[in-house]
Parts: sequence; structure tokens; C-alpha cells
Amino acid sequence: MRKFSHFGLAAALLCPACDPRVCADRAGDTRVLPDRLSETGLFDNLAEERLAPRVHAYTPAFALWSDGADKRRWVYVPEGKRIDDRNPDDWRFPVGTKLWKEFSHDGVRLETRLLTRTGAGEADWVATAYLWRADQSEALRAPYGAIDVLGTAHNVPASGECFACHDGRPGKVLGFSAIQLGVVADDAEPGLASDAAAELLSDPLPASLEVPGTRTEREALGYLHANCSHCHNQSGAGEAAGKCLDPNDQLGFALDFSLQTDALGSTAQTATYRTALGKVIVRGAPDDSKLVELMSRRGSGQMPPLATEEVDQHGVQLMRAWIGAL
Amino acid sequence: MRQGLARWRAALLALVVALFGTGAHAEATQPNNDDRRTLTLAFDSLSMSSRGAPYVTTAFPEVSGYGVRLRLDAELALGPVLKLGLRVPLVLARIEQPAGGLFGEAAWANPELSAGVAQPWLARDGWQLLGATRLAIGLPLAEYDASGSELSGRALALADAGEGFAESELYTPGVLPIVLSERVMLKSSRFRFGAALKLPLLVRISEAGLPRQTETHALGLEPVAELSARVELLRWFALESAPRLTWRLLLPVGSTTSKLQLLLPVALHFRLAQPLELDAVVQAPVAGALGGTTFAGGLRVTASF
Repeated sequence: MRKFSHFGLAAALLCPACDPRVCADRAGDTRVLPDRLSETGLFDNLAEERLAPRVHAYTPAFALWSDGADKRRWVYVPEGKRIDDRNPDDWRFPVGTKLWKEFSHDGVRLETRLLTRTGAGEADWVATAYLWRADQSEALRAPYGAIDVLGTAHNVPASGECFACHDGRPGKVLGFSAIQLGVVADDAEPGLASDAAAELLSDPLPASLEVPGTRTEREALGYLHANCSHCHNQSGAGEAAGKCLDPNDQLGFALDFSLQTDALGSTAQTATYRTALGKVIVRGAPDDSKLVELMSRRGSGQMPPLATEEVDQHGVQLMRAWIGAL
Repeated sequence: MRQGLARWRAALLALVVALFGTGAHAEATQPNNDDRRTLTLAFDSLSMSSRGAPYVTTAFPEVSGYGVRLRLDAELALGPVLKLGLRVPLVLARIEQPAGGLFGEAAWANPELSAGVAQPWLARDGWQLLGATRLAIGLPLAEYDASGSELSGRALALADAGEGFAESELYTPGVLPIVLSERVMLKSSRFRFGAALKLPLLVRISEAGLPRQTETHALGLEPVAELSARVELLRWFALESAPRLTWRLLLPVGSTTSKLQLLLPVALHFRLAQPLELDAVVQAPVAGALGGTTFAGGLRVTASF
């Protein structure tokens, strides 16, 4: 939590518009959500962790760095409804969709986040976190978030902060997409079971989605997609919503780290290669690459700006290896 | 001999008043020299940043962020002695959230109405000893949770930290503030020395917006002592410092193990063209709960009519 430097604060006081972490507080009314996780429809039996009907586990091919937390994820779509996945890069989720993500450290559950669509409007999404009790018997809604929960360094975001990232895509959902479920990462299992995909999606997942390049290139492109593209993309969602970073406008640059299903023919086709090389990535020179510098920083100017207080050393090494070989 | 005795009496009086009941508000200290009504308006802005000001809930034991406190001060002198005052504060802040985002919040603090008397006690050899008493009542407009996200309470806590807890009657939500302050001042044409004591009694009238498990008390009392010194270096320029020590005797909400908080301000005073004056101040809490976490600086423009 103590990420502020007074230098950064002084700069922010002199130029408030320069602080990229300022978010619109678009939390929605979290009071429409149950107070307890056990009432959200995730589990039939919370103590036994027996999933409720139509709730499916999934694992994205490329994970968001969360300071080393272990994560599990589930999705639910109401009976009779399907996710409209005809546009593989812009899935649309029906009203009533719920996605949960659980965070734990050393086997102790800390929080479970819920993102749900509550209405037909594009912005009719509500998100909140449920904070696990120390005895692990239940998790309670924590709309304001929490700091250093259960004796760890893990911080639980306030509800409004969820949309700092989730507003970055028109469909609001991150990590549950054609790229994240259709690409099978090296040495990994498919991210969504075939029977679950059949139940949830309007159209089958694309048959063969492969990120181009060597193994290092594939991992690097996937890493940037998962960790950077919710802000650094050109979907234009940021202009209509209240996310913290709007690369189309606020910061005046045009970086895009998205993986798009129609741009996987070669590494040169990917948005990262087209928009970031020569700007924040210097071929063969990781030490001169701003991307590495900001990823390696925590505090003022860090990247990602939110929800992490620890440098992802593995991620930094991956970027260094990739950039060094370019 | 009689002159020396008078000086000792004046000094003793100043000491007694300083120790047992003197005022903490510069706004109500200067007696008028004539019977005319005068209106003094001041626009006071104070920018502050903090990376760990204490807050009252268990979910948020600290507030980090930055912002500005704006305050309109008005004082109407109805004659040489009696003064009526009004202070209207507003806080605009960006509050850091647990994941590192910043949310903006505008929060009203408690406006304050006051009445004060200021009288010269002694005048000799170019020096004057003045005394002032002031009684103020706050209007309980401040809220903990105006927007449903506990942001307003945290914005107010940030402003409270920026002022070293010395203006808690302005920034404490859910209370009716009743403030008695006394001040004594010894001044010449170039120098001014003051001592003041403020007793803000905060009577709890609401717990709205506070999480249920928050510890609250019916009354709060956080006396503030101040010593000030000012030297006029040029006709248009003066230097002033008025350190304040707040004794967090009884908090209206929450608790603290750090009972004393010192605030060190330094102000530059510029006398502009009549009727305008400008003060630039930087201040920082020292030691206590806020030491090293919070800094503030601001400008105050005053016009007298």
C-alpha cells in the first residue's frame, strides 16, 4: 500500500492530469450483490467446494501477474443463454453472466472476486471482492477492498478499481476470450473443457489458434497480452468508460499489446511488434527498453500501475530474453 | 520601578493566559482601532499529500493520497471589540485505493460560525499586549460516506493530516463542534509573539457512514496549543512561524497510541496593494502519528474592506 513517493505526490499536485492512476469511480451499486460468497451461486456447498450447476472452471493460457498469488477461476451463464463469441476478439456476455476469481497464498484463500452483468446496457456490470474469513468458513463482500489481508501483503481492490482494467475492453471480461481459451500454451491443458465450451458458447472455439514465433516469443507475446493489453489496446473502450489509462487519448501514445485472432500469422503481424518495437522495446537491448525498466519498477511510474507491489522477476527475465534475442 | 513591575505583570499575564486559556485563531485576534465595521475576506488553499495518515476504520487504518483544502474565511468586525466569523471549508482529494488506483472525491468539511472579542490589555513603549476570546460552533455537514465508498471520510482525514490534527473540528464527520479559543499577543511595529489555546469539544450526533465495528465516543476533545512569532523584515514582507501542538486527549472516533502531534509551519507574509495581503505557508507534522508521512503547503489571500 505504501507505494506513494512524496516526489510523485508533489508532481501529481503540480500536474494532477499527469497521474495515470486516477480512475473514474465506476463501481456500480455493489449492494445488489449478496453479502456472502456462499450466496453468489458459485458453490452448492461451500465447505466441500462443490460447484453449483452450470458453473465451470477455466484457466487462461496467459495469466495476469498477481504478486505470486495462486488463482482459480469459474464462469456461469444462465440457462438458455450463451456467450456470443461470433466475433472471436470481442465476445459478448449475456445478462446474468458471472465470473469468479479466487486468490490464495500458501493454500489460504484470501479473496474471491465476482464480476457479473446486471443489465442490458454496455456498462451494466458490477464487480466486488469477497474477503475470506481467517477460518476459511465464508467470504464476505468487501466493496471498499482491504489492505494486507490475513497477515499477507495481499491487497484486495475496491470495487471501483476493478473497472480500471475491465473497462479496457468493450465486453468487460478479461482472461475469458478466444485467445485465452483457444490458444493452448506450451505444456498446458486446454483452458476450458470441451463440454463446458459447448454449454457456454454460441459458436465453437476456433480450432487452431497458435501464437507465432519461438517458444520465448510466444510466451512474451502472451505475457504482454495478459498483463498489458487491458489498457494498452486500440479497442477504443477507454474513451467511453472510466478506466485509468486511455492510450487513445490521455497518454498520447499508440501502444497495443493485444493478441488478435486475425493477426497471428507471424510475429510481425502482431500488434506488439507493429506498435511497440522501436518505441518501448529496443531490439537486442533490454537495458535500453522502457518496457523492461517500467516492469522492473515498483512505486511511481510502475507498470502495471495497479494491483501489484512486487516485480514479476520471471516476467522480467522473459522480457529480457525475448528482447535480447530480437 | 513601577515600569519594571508593569512589565513583569504583563509578562506574567501573558504566561498565565498562554498556559491556561489563550486563543488559537489568528482570524479573531486583531482589535479594531475605531468603531467602523470592517469585513475581512480570505481565500485559503492548502495542498497536502500523505502516504499514511491514520484513519478510523479497521478496513482502512491508513489514508494515502493528495489533494487540496479550500477555505473561505469571512470576519465582520462590528466595532473595536466584537467580531463575527465564518469559515467554509471544502476538500478536493484523490484517495489511493488498495490496488493502487486513485479516486477523486469532493467533501464538505464542517463550516463554522464564530463570535469573538479582542481587546488591548496593555500598551507601553511601542509594545501592545492583546487578548482575544473566541467561541465557535460548527455546522455538522461533513460525512464519512457520502458517495457509498467511504471516500469522503478519507478525504477529510487527509485534510486533517495536512493540518496536523490541529483543525479536527472542521474535519470530523458526525459531530457538533463547539470550540472555545483564547489567544494573547505581544506585538510591536516589527515583532509579534503569540500564545494560544484552543479547546474543541466534539459532540457526537451521528454514526452514519461508519462501519459497524468502528469504535466511537460520545465526546471528543483535542486541545491545541500554539506559540507564534512573526518578524517584519520589510514594510511589505514578514516571516512567521506558529508551531502547534495537538493533544489527542479524547478522539470522537477510533483510538490512538500517539497522543501528541506537533505541526511546524513557516509562512511568508506579503503586504500587497491595499487591501490585499498574501501568505504562503509550508507545514509538516513532526513526530507523532503523522511525522514523515504528510506535507502541506498553500496560499492565503486576504482582503479587508
